[in-house]
Amino acid sequence: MKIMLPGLDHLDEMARLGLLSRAALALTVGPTNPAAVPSLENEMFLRDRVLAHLRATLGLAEDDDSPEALEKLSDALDVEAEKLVPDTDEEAALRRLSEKCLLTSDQYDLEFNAPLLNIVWGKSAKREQKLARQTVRRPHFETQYGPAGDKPEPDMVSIFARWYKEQKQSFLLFVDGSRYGAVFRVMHIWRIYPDEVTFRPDDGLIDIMRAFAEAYGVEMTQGGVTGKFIEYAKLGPGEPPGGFLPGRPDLLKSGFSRTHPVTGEVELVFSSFIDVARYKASMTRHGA
Amino acid sequence: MAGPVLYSTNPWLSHHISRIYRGDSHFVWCGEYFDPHREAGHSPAAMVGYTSSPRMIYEQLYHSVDTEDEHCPLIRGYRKKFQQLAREWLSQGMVTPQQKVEITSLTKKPAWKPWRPVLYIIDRASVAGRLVAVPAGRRAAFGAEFQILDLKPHEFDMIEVRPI
Repeated sequence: MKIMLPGLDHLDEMARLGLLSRAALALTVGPTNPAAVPSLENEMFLRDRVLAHLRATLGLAEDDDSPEALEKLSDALDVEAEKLVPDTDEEAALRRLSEKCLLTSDQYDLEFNAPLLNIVWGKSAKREQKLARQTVRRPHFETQYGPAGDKPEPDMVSIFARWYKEQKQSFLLFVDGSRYGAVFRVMHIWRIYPDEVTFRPDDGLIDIMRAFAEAYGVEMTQGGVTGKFIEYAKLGPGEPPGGFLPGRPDLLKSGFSRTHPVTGEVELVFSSFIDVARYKASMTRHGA
Repeated sequence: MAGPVLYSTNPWLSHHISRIYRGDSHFVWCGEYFDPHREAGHSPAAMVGYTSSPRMIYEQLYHSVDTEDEHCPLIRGYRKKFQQLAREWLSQGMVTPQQKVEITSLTKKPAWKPWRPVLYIIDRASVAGRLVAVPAGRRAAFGAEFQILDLKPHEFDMIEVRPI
């Protein structure tokens, strides 16, 4: 509904926005809230006039102060105020919030890299995705990285973990992936059983990732760095950053890579090559 | 009996927004008792309104988040309030248009973690000069309620607990 508010023409847009917002706050949180206190000359007079006009437009009686009537009034004020806001690009806002790691994990929209997850989980992939969803929404542990810039860190990556109890043994579900704005794309889901992966209760997620690579990874050399878990390396010319190592289809790369925006070099972070057959055998042993 | 601390329950998002967009300056309503209705019937605590009890607010928010209750009036009210505050701050030049839309987006995105309750334990001595007594007509009941306009991080501890 288009509503013409009377008596505000002499005010600039920001003054009008403030007047309408404070009027709405007075209805929502009460007039004594500091944010609802008038700050313009004659503001109470203008506020009363606006409210009277809105009451007439909405068909509300002058003395109707029922919660429903007040909510209708504050909703109408919100609508009118929002028209005065110069920037309403919520997608861009969510992208900025994601880059600053200011969204909570349950504010991300989840996507799954199905082909990659199917390699490990096959027909159980849907079940693991359900657990991964729960893990991201309510993690016991989480780490988020923003844009890496020149730092030797992953770029726009999130890592989550959550313990699950089973009759035989508890396991830690480890979920990692990349963020694109408010979308979190899950790359890997690993069940980690403490009888095969050794870590301490106070270890961080990167320590657990390292312990996982020690248990199921193979020693590799990437970018001149050798080990089962390579925290950071720059790839040499021609070195493949892909998911599988050429000639070793049984090895699945875990970790993250990016092309540096300035130097063009390919960088690997938290990289390992997991022996999928060995991992699958372990999951079978654990009844997963 | 009222002690050396004050209690205030807020949704986590309130703390998040104040920290990021308000220079870590927090506006809070607070009271002298965490659970005023466990105090003796003749004590001043017993006169604090049920809807102003930090424990009641904590439990209501906790259970609404835990059960993902879409109709929780507290959360609906907070969501609306933060959106109105963001507009008011924009009008006063306290946030940029981009920050305003960030605050709005934080409140709009369907999620539960932002609304989980956090309890502020406030050092009363350090805020004594800035404690604003809420006038009788604006309190939930006869019992005392206070506002602090600019609570600083070093003046309170923030905890999250499961309801007792």
